[in-house]
Amino acid sequence: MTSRSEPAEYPARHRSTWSDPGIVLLIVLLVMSAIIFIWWPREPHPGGVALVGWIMFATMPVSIALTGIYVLWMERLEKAVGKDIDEVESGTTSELSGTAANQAES
Amino acid sequence: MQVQETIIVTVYLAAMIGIGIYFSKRAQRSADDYWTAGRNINSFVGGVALFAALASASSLMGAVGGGVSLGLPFLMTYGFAATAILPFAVFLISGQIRRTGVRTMPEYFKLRYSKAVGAVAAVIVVITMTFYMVPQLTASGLIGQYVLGIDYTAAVIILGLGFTLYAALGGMWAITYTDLIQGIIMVGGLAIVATVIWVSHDGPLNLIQEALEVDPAFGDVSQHWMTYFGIFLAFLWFGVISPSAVMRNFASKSAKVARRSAFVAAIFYASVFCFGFMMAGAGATLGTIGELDNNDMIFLQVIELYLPPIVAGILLASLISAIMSSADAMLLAISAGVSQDLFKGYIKTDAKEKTVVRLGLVVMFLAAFAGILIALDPPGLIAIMVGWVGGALLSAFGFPIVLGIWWKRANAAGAMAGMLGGGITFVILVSGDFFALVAEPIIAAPVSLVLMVVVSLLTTPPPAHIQREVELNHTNVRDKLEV
Repeated sequence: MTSRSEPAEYPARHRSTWSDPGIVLLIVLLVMSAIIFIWWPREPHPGGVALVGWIMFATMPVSIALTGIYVLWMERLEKAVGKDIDEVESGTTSELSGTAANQAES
Repeated sequence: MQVQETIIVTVYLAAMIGIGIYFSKRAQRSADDYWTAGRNINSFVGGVALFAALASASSLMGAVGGGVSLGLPFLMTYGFAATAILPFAVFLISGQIRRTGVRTMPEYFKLRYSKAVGAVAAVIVVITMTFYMVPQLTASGLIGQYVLGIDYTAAVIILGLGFTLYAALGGMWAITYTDLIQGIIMVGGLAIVATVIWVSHDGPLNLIQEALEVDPAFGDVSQHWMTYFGIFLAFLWFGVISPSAVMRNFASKSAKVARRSAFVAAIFYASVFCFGFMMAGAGATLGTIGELDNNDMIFLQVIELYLPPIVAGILLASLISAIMSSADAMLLAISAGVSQDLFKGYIKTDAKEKTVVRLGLVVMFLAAFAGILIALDPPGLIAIMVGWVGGALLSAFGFPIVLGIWWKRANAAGAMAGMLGGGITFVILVSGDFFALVAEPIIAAPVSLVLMVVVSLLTTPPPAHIQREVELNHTNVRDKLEV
């Protein structure tokens, strides 16, 4: 896909798509959004504004938090995988495995 | 002409063009420097620049104008959807697409699928980004006319040429650093006006009560829910499907930096809507809706009423910042689409980098000229125009880009079917006026998804090396090798 060197000696992804942090947190984001649009509470009007408006406004800090969680989660995972890549390069293990794969699967 | 405001805006424009000149030599060193700032942008600079690119005139004038005329829940939907852009994009594409090593979105489609898919994508990018500049230019004309006291046409031309000049000279380097300054001015300026409103009305709850006394429907959901859902969908996907936003990932130092930038951008973007909430409340207390030719102008009325002229001038600069920082990124996407993707990719594949970069510079001026011409007679409300472009991009690019990253089995035939099927469905729905305002992607995007999945499954899978690349882009193997 790219013109850069292909690291063919490295196995690719060891975690399933469904346990990827991006997909897990995406599901949280979509479920939250779905609840808002399915429920759609036009009444009551706390503080004079439709409840659905307040709920939508309250999702803003949630979105920030989800982004932060993802950033930290991915960095933790990649740090673990990085150690395994170093081991592959130094010849102490044959493929990405152990810590990284276990963390990713969990 | 209002002298004080004009001086502030002139100084501001000159400073931005100065930055363009400062970066011009570095930008024109290579194609990588021009389109992706040498892939050397860090988390904070990249984050603020990404926020500035996303926070367009629509986010400021459009959301406040819509909030006052269509009810506060309209603005709250904007806040909900716009802030969700960042997590949505970072979960789905930011890190992975940075690892592909491409410079533009059509280049990604070309490498992931085929040359034909890349060419169609380049054409769509050029058309949609040109139209997306229109609401930005419209906003600049309105501001110029109202605040500076100059003719609408003159304002569109002066401000349009201003951002074109620095973007063309300095490429992604100038765009990123001007966006950094513009992002900070934008948030700082809005914080000032929101604080003044807060103090003047003894807090937001009092402000809403005062607004309700003037307009009892201010807190109501005034439109069909599909309108809000359509806005949500179009905005949610914007960080994934808009070339002007996606190109920021390519400029990041690494996948990790691209993800961190999204986090910084999310914080900045949410703050804009908190300040916008105060401005919409203040705007509703004025009771001028119905008297204005364009409801987006309420934003300027609030600034004028609450701030002394010198501070209002700075606020005006922040609004111009929002316009410029979005429009410059669109110009870069158009320019890259024509010179890098179409010219270098298909017409003259052996073209030298310098030729491509120079062509890009010329294309920027031509695109700006086309945008200015359309903006002289704008087709509608700013927020609605933005919704249309977002909807078109979502319908055409949404699933081809996301499935290209997440589904190894997605192939060129499927991507082409999804891109064309979604895009054409969107155009038919818009032309026929079948749906509530900006709700077309609710139908067109699923059509794209179904076509892409069905056609991919019915045709030959992609080659093994492509499938392996898709897998590798989900790991940090490449990052380690780049170090």
